[in-house]
Parts: sequence; C-alpha cells; structure tokens
Amino acid sequence: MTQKQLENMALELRRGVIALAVLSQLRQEQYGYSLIKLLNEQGLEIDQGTLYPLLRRLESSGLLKSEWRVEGPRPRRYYQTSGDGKEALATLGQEWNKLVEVMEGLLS
Amino acid sequence: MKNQENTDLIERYVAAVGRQLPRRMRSDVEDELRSSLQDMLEDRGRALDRTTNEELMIEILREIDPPSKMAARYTGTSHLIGPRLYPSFLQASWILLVILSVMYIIGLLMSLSEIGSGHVFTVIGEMLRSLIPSTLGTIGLLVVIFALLDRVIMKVDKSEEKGWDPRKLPVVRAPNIVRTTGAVVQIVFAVAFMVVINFFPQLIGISYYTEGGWQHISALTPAFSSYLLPLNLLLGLDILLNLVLLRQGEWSPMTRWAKVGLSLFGIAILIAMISGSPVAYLSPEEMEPYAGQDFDLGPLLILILIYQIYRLVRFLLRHGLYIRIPFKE
Repeated sequence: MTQKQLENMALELRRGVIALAVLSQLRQEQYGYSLIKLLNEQGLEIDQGTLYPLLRRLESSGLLKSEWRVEGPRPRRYYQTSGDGKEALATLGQEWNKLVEVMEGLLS
Repeated sequence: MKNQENTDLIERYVAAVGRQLPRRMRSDVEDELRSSLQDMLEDRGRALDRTTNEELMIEILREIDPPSKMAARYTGTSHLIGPRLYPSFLQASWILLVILSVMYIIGLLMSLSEIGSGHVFTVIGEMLRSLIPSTLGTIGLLVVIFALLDRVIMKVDKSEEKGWDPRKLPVVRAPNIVRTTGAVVQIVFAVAFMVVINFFPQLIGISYYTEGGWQHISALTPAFSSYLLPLNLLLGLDILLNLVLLRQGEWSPMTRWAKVGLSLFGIAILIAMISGSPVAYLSPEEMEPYAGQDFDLGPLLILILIYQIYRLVRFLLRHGLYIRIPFKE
C-alpha cells in the first residue's frame, strides 16, 4: 500500500467524524474562521474548503442555524447548533461512544 | 497601497470561485469566503508578527484550494458537467427551450391556419408528440457538448492544482472579466450551427403540420454553398477565441481586437448574403401547401445584421476605455 493510499484512508476515517465535531463545537456560537481555529487547537485539522461546504449542508439539513452580524471589523456569519442539531448530536454522540468502545476492543 | 493590494488579491480569489458557482449560492459563499480570508490574513499577520502584505496573502491562498477546486467542494465533485460550466449549461438549456417553444408555437399557428381550427386538438396532440423527442434530443446534444467542454476545461484546470499561483488570478475589473456563461453559450451555438450547416443543411427551412402529418421544406439555395467556407472559418475562429477567453479568464488587447475583427468579418458575410443571390428562398409553387406565398430569408438576415452591428457597438462602448489603438502607441 502506498503512502498516498494510506493518507486517503485516514482522510476517509476523519471525514466521518468532522460533522460530529462541528455540531459539538457549535453548541456555542462561532463564525467560520473561529471554528476552524477552535477545531485546530483541539487537534482536528480542517481547512476552509472542507468546513464551509459542510456548514452549508448541515444548515440546509436543519442541524445548524446561522445569521450575519457585524461584531468587530467586518460582517461575519455566526453558526450555532439548532434544536434538531442538538438531538442529532446526542444520538450521534452515543453512537460514537459505542464505536470507540468496540474499536478499542478490536484494536487491543 | 499595500492593504489595497491585499484586498485586491482576496477579491480576485473570491470572484474566481464565485464565477463557478450557481447564482443562488454565489453571493452568500463569496461574502463568507471574503470575510474568512480577511480574518485569516489578520490572524496570521498577528501570529507571525508580519506585515499583512501581498506576499503573506499569497502564502495563505497557496495553502487553500485553487478556485475551481474550492467551487467544486460547494457543488459536489461527481458530475457530468462541472460547477464551472453548470450555470452556463442551465442558461443555454433555457435559451434552447425558449427557441423551441417559440418555433412550435409559430408552427402551431401556421398549421391551424392551414387545416382550420376544428382540428386544434389533433394538431396540438401531434405537436406534443414531436416536441417531446425533439426537446429531449436537443437537451441530450447540449449535455454531450457541455460534458466534452467540461473535460477540456477541467483538464486545463488540473494543471493549476499542483502549486497554483494566486498571482495569476484574473484581476477583478468588470469590463475585463470574461463572462464564462456568455463564452460557453457562444461556443455551444457556434458548434451547433456548424453541425447544421455542414451536415444537416436541409434542416434550414419551414416545417408545418397538415392532415397528412409533418412536412418540411428545405429552403437553402445552391448560392449558400459559396458561403460555407467563410462561415466555417468565422465559426471556427469564434470557438477558438472563446476557448482562449475561458482559459485566460479576462480580456486582453489582443482578444479584444480579435473579437472586433471577427464581428466585422461576420457583418461582411451577412452583407454579402443580403446583397447577393438569395441563400434561402422558396417559390410560391414550393410553398403551395402552405398559403402559396414565397419565402425569403432576406428580412431575417437584415434583422440579424442590425443585431450584430448593435452588439459590435455595445462591445466597443463597453471596452472602449481599455482598447488601445495600436498606431497611437
């Protein structure tokens, strides 16, 4: 297996959890760039090209809500997890915990 | 001045992405990208204790996706017609549907005047029966042309993915920016017109419905064949010019003059067609099944000529400030 193939597999692995990570961090309101920094600081590297389209998809699914506001030097779009998003987060969080438990068992 | 340059580079990137997005999401995505890039520039400048100059902006832009890839992330990557051409495809489809509808409505009126309004439902039924396959066929042809164009353009774009250079982003100046939609629609119609005049010239004529079914009379005269070479040359050069414009993304003095030259060439061909032997004519005898009046394409050519002159004048006015007359330099 080549390095490139390994990288692609790691990318696929991460892609599945990014939505969950975003929903979790948007329990508190953030704008795009502050969310990127927040996730990066916690060890989840994510770029604009991945985050912004994902935010749009989550919003169109009703899991996020957003509004444009001027707080600071320029207008920014602030996102927050919606009611449906919080329910989805709780369900997906449980699934994630189960998965971690199973995977720990499998990998040990 | 430096800050102006930074903003300019951001605007160029944002505009390059926006041009490849569907209109419904364009302005929203552009605003968010712009805001985010400005945040990123400020933050990076602070973190590295560097001046927020153009060099830093180039570094930042190099870290993110080139415009075509960024746009593709918003619209999805699995496609027959990519995000860059999809808005043009929709526009061309609408134009074709409008043309087809107008043609069929004219055909309907002609058929009704021929066989009487008592058969209105029969005529409409027959019309719908032929309208559906012809619409599907036309849209199918359009999809094939756009899919091929997409492969050509996307192949060109892939070269920029590896170490793309933000300095090559087209400058945002309204008259300078090439409208992708317009260029692609022109290519599609030029290809379609070339196919018709070279392979299906008999399609140029009159179609009408009688009780015996659909009738079509080809109207082109032998005189038309003498215009085939200049018409093919004009259409071929027009396609080439539009491909160059799509590749460059902005007008240059050379492409402007090429456009003016091609417009004048087209006008010259039209004038020759109008003043010479008729290129499309049907005598009253040939038109006997329909009203018995003769058919001449002359008036339509005059209308096209007036429209072409109007387009040339509009182009010169729109680009006038940027056209440099070579002998004055």
